[in-house]
Amino acid sequence: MTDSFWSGEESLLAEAVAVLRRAEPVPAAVTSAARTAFGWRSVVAAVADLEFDSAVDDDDLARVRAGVAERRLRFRAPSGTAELTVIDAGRRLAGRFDPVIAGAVLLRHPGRADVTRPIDALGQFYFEELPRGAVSIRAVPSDPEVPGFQTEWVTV
Amino acid sequence: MDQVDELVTRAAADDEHAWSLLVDRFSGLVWSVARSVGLDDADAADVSQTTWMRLAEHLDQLNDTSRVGAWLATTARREAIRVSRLGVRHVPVDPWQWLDRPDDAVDDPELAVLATERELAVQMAVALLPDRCRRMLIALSADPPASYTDLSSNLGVPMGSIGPTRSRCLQRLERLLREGQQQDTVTERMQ
Repeated sequence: MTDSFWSGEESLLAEAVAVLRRAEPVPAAVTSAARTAFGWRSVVAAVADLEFDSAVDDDDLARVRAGVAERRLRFRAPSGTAELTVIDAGRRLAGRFDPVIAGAVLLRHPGRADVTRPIDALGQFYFEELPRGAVSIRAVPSDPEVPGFQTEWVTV
Repeated sequence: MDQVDELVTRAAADDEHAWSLLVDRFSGLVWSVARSVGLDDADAADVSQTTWMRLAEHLDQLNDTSRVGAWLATTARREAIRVSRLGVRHVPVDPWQWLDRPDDAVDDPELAVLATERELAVQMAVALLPDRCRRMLIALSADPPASYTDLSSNLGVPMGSIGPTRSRCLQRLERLLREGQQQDTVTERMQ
């Protein structure tokens, strides 16, 4: 082994040690929430992907027009789309399924029990007191033959 | 259980212990990525939560289970960028009170020293190391660093093998960093 090999190894060790020492400790509650996520593994085969988020997909001008307090999200699955609007700086959420799904809709959040609301004749639904953190929406059709709809998790 | 891809496969088969070991390895990386975008603690906690919820949901669908670290880092970075662009966010109904952290931690992200790409790459490479190597590096980075006697008893390695083990671990670390560079990054360049 050459001197340069040794010095390379030692300097890599020094760098790794410095990085590990500088890395912030992860708050215990954050690690605990990560462990809990396992219990939320999906029961639905196809999860709708987030395909549009005004927070990153709108240009600056459009975001100014819409106002900072409103954020629009669109999720797509093979069976259709869900459009969500987060209003009042994240406190309320309005949504719509296309095509219309007859049934109920659940607001899922890892920190609390699911909240259920009806879906109206136009496919619309509404939630107040939106919790902050990860949320997902799941439609529960009244006709079991109709495919369900579930969005992937997103931070609100 | 050494290999990350094996942990993913086992977690996908409903092994909660394997999931927990994935969290042990990667929660620091996910946190650092979220903070590196400039988020404060509460926002970084939200991003971390969403990232792990998404992984739980996607466990069966990862194309390459050995790349779970890159998947987590990419997901956390994207989500952190979204949150960083929300501007005024949430007057919480239910205040985020549960974060416990050391008193000397910095609340203002402007004042915090944000991790660089290179630091994230090193954190990723350490997370991907075999368990014994990872534990050895963590022990060596303690202040004061673990002695050879401590290392020997904690890692179950004879004193005479500590030097060679340390050397092999650093070679693996070096290789992981090189491979990471070829894949051009921790977070798969999305911007």
